[in-house]
Amino acid sequence: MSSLYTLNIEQVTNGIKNGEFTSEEYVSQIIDRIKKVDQKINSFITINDNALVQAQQIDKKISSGSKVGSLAGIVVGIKDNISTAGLKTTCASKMLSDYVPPYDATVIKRLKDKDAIIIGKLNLDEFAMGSTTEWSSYGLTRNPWNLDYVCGGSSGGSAASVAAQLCTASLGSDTGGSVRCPASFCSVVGFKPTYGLVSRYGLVSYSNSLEQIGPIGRTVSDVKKIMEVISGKDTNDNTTIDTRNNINTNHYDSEQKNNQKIGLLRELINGADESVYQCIYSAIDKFNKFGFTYEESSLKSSEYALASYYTIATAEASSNLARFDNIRYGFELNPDDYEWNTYFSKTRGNFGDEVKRRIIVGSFVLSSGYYGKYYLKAQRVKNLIKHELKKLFKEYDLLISPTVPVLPFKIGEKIDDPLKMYLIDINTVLANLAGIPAISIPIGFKNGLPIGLQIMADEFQEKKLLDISEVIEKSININTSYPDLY
Amino acid sequence: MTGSSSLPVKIGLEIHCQLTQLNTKLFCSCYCNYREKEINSNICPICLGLPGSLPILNKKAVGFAIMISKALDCKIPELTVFSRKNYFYPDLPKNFQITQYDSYGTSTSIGKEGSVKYGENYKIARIRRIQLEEDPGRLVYENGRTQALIDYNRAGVALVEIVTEPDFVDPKEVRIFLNKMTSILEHLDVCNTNLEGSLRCDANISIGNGKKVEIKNIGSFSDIEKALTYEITRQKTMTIHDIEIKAETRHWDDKRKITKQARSKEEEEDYRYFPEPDIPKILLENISLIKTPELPDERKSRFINDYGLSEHVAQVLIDNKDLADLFESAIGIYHSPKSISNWIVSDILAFIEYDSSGKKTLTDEMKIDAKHIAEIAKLVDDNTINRPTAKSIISRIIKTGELPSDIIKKEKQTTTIINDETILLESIDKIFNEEKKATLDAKHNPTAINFLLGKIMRMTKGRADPKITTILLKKRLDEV
Amino acid sequence: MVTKDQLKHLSKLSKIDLTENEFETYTKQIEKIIKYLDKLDEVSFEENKPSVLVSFKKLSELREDMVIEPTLNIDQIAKNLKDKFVRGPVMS
Repeated sequence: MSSLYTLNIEQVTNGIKNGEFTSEEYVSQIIDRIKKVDQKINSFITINDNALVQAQQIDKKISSGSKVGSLAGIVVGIKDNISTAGLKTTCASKMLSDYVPPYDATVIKRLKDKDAIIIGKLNLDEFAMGSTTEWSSYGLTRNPWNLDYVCGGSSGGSAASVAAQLCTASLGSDTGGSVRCPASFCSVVGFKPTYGLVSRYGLVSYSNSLEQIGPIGRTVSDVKKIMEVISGKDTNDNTTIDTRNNINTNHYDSEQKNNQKIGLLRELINGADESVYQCIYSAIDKFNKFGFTYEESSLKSSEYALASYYTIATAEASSNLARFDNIRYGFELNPDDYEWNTYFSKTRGNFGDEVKRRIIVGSFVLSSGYYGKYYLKAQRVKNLIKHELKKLFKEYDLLISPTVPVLPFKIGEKIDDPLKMYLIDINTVLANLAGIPAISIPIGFKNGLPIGLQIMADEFQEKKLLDISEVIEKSININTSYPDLY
Repeated sequence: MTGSSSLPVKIGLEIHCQLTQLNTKLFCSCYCNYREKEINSNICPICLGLPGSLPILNKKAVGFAIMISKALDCKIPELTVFSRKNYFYPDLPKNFQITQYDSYGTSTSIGKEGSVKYGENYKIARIRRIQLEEDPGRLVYENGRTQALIDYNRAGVALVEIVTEPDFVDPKEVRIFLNKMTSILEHLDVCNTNLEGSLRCDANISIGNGKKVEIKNIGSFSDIEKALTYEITRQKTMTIHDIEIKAETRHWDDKRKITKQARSKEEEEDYRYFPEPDIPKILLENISLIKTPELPDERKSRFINDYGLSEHVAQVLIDNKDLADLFESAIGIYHSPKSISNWIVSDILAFIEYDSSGKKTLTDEMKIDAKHIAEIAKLVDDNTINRPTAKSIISRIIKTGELPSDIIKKEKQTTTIINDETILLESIDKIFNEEKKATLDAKHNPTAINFLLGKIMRMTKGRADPKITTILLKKRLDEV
Repeated sequence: MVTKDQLKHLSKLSKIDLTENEFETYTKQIEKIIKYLDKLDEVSFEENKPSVLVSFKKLSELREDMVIEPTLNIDQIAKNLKDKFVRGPVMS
């Protein structure tokens, strides 16, 4: 069978289980395709040399009649800031160019337990700081739909690889929109879970009070399947919480769908480009036919969300990245004869521009004299936003907005203006600040460039969010075509 | 010139106590006891600070910290919070330390506003706060070189920091207070204070309400009095000569026995404290169920009131917790508190050694325990052996661990008390024969009787019952 | 206002070497960013807002004090070792 790379999760797992093709065949085709296609988009940093052997092992298990996991045979790409034992984890940074973790992140363990195959590590903005994957020290990742355009970030490799069909699904991390933004720009589905639902053990911290690992897939259904496997309390992460809502895909309550009240956040659409604006409203028209109640709503504190986000994120980043001094791990540079302050400052000069800027801003907002004005206030704003959203969710089941207020733009267009770049996140940071789940689903194109719809629910309402998103996805029914890369 | 004797001295302390009695470190499950482990073998992704690692708080460590807070009479919050202290140093795996200090006022460390009574007059030292934090790794230097070698075995070990108000007015008070603190920590069984590096202390001093000077790098408690005395003299001297005392950090140089200016930094360190995002606030529920073991003051009172011990003997036992434990075990076997306590204080105490840091140790090599002491006390009380014999047996037991009754059986000839008058009279007559001059002396001079008695004791290898022998001696002398 | 001197201080605090060029560019960019963050000053907080749901963990839910035998091999991670010590730089 050829074109196995076009299959979704269920089709792959069933196909392999039913003997239509082997895991080895599937992985071979994927690796072949990566070799041909990825030179155009540069979504991978490292390929797992062992993938074929692991595929063969799965085939052996099946043929011998042993039980295999629910994800047996699918290939998952992993954003390169998630630790994979024995496989280089660089965070797209020179600082970790030689770092091979001795342990697996919890999400990796859980995927492996279900017999998923880790196909390789995916490109990102260095240390997950960025919105276009242009800040990688391994070169930028191009948008598979138009190679002159950015693919979004920071999980650009994760979204682009799924869009280019180089893996069945992928994992990214979302601190201020880093899963949803590239998903929107690449016309795939990206999901950020409730804070505390997915273990961060093994995720190289950027902003630990805001970030979550999230899946990127071709459909909401695929994203659900990954979520089932990776979510859940973890003793290795003190910030994980017992799930209150079951996200089991087999339990869909058809009663619910007709009584959903959806609110469109006015502040988040008013700033959007015309083409994005129109696409959103046409999508709303489509799913309104399914009996949802829809109206415009407002979140006053959203105006301050971005300022709050960048204050908190840079503050935490400045501390989280302090450990990179090249003493215990990193890259080749012997500390002999270097005075320690000099050694630290010299090695840390190897961070990219954006990372350096954020560390400096972060140190600033935490420094004595400024802590109250910036960091403390930002925390209060965070609480205010959480509070206001909680109030809104008493009225609405779901809140929606464009994922990104603009269309994907040309490579290099915003690279010289950090603040302009930060404004890309203006709609997505809300969900991180409030710790609520949010998804981006593709709803159309303009000039061949993808547009995404963001849907948010109250914390721990994963089941409701994913189930309804699936309905909306079906109602919008954009052609599930794929970019013509090979 | 300012008169230095009138300048009030204020000393405050910052004590770091390792929670050595835990099994694991504060945020990971590596061994708490890192001593004698092979270099960099007691590490994991968490305590090495590998990318992606997360701290996992040790429940028992929080329990220990709560006990310390209670023992020091501190207020304990409902929710306790951790924070990050951000600074760079090669012994710090993450280049920040997870602690509980919050420089912005809202105090949510594990304890605050407590007090400790110490000394004969029960002076009060106020405790400002108590917090949990992690120990860094160790920097080691090769001979003559300044290049650091780093061992992370200790990184992440749980510490409790105890900060006092500047309530001490002289170094002696500090010493007495620290002894009390050591005793409390031992009685809580949270720290084995005999382990090297388990208890450290920094101090801050100001005189005449002037600027505060911090003294760090004081190796052991016994050095504190020296360091403080030196520093007070230094400051007083400067004041007399109208030289300004700078607010600064100074290091204690143990070799030269002086304090010296620490490497001056161009700017004061800005630690940029903020709440630790990886550890949620901890709800300290049901802490009334956490009972502290008996504290030294309570135990001392009990020794005095229940067992009738003197203040002095009770204090000596309390100051050496091992001995207090030995005492209680022994009286459980043979209930004679006064005699057992005396045996311990007068005989066993002498064998306890001070090691180079001034700490007392009931060494593992001393093979004496409760059953030995109980037996000794009983044997003497029953008059089976006499005191001198008992003393010599004790020193033998400490080396060999034999039971007193076994020793007596083996050495029957040399241990059993001789109270048989016939045998004693035989010995007396022998001595009269050998010491004719002294015998004649003794008829008139009582002190000569002691000389004869001594001879008889030696001849009977210490076994003669001194009381009976003396009576018989006097009788015989009259007959001569 | 973020000055070049402030930037010098911050680069020292964060232990990051910056070239003269970087000082020039970053000062301008960072000043713009901080100005945007000053937006936070505009927020008015109502005094009577009920306190936000504080998430916490119970003492009883914390990790048990049981050793897990350390298996991490320093040779696998650190590049510069001497007799199993991690080689550090020179301490002045």
